[in-house]
Amino acid sequence: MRHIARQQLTLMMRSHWLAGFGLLFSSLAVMVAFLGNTGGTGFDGFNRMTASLLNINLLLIPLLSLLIGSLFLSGEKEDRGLTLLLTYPISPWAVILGKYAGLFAAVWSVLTFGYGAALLVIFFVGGGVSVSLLVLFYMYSILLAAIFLSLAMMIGIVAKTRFQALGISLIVWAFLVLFYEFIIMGLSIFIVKQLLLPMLTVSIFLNPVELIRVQSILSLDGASVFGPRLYDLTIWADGLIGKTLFVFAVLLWTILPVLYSVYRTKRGVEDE
Amino acid sequence: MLRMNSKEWIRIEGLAKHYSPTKKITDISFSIDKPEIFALCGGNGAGKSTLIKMLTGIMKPTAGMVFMDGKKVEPQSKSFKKLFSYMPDEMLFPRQLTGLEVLTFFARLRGISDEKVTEALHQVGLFDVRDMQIKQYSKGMQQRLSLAQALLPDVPLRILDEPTNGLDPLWVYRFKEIIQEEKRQGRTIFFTTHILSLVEELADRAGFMQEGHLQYCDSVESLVQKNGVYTPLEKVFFN
Repeated sequence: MRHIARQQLTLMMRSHWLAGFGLLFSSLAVMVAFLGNTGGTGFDGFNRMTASLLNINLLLIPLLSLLIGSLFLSGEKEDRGLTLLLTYPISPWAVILGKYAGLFAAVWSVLTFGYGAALLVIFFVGGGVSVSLLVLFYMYSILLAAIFLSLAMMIGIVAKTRFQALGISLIVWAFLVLFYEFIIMGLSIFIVKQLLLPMLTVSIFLNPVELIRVQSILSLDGASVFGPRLYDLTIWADGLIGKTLFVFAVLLWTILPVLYSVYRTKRGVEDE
Repeated sequence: MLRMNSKEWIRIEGLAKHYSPTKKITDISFSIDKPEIFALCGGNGAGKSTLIKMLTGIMKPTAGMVFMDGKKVEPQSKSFKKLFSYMPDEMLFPRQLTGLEVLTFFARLRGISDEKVTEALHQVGLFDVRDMQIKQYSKGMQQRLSLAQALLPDVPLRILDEPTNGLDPLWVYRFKEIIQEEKRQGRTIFFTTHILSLVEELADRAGFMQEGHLQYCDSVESLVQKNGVYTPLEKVFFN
């Protein structure tokens, strides 16, 4: 597994894709840190900078993770690299976990670089933004990457070609990041008031983007952005049960797609 | 337990893969001896690569079994995979790595030393370009690198899918030398090809596949010497 992870990391580090994304992410993070601090509105908690940073995280990290993970894996399948690897006396677990570890290490390094650059800007520009907030965001962005890389592995294994992997990844990204909240908003119109809160609660756990979004805002004491009607939800989600369920949901979103990838690999990657 | 002849090492019994009613491989049975050079030929889409994928555990067969020394084996098991090396058809290695990096990676997976990597690079004539990135390699060089990967481990069976694809005449010649040397060292080489002259020249036994069926399987000598008269393999297979 160690050799596969190292090889995957080497491949990622030499990829123009990752370098491009690293540059884009760092520039945006630095820009947000700089502009968020120059307006004089900086305060601990959910402010303009954290809102912008949260949006960058929720838009870019799922997209990067899905595209990089699924394209690399489906590409390796197309180029016979994965097929060859599976004829070696190595378990499918080692192959999938090794690939996952390598991909995760690469994306983690990009995120660390981006947040590191933002921290440097805050250090030099000054302002009232707490470093602990940025660290918290950094942790959430890593969780987001872990979940979406796991989904990307599954897409990469299921897709027959790079092109198919690209299509599936974009559909998954658009659904989870762009359309999901509109669908939930639309559904809420037809649902009786008493069921609204349970439906919203369940909907948060069914989408990792919403899961991270809600937990990030709650961690920043920004529950007020949800409005008075969702006060009960924020109290519950911020409590012990809410936090435990959050950890459990993140683990499920990360582990289940990897398990499915191993299952598909065991069944034979070319068994369609 | 299966009854075997004295040389029989691996026996494939009733191997089948059904994709759809029109696309299927049915009831493939033959044996592989040790040591020998076995060539599997046939046209495009005849099912050669699918058969190899089932044999190497990449693809699960719909039916059939594989026996080794008379005992049933699972091609997907680690113990079986330790016995063979595989060269895929039209392998494309990561473009951003060097030839040496690619080969070293595959060597590490099997715990093979760097000296063996160097030896394999020399064997396929890529030692001098080992630090060149794969994107600078020609198709033939990539094919030779793929062959080097298959030559790395000290295993009794080498399974090569279309190994001469993209090789220039010099390297087809060198390939034949390498394969004969491998047999001299006691190994079995199972390869697929379209080139029947290569089969006649190199193989001890040959199988011919057509539309998912194994039409012929015999020693090359018997195939070309039907009725005591030499008949080229293409006439044997296509008439």
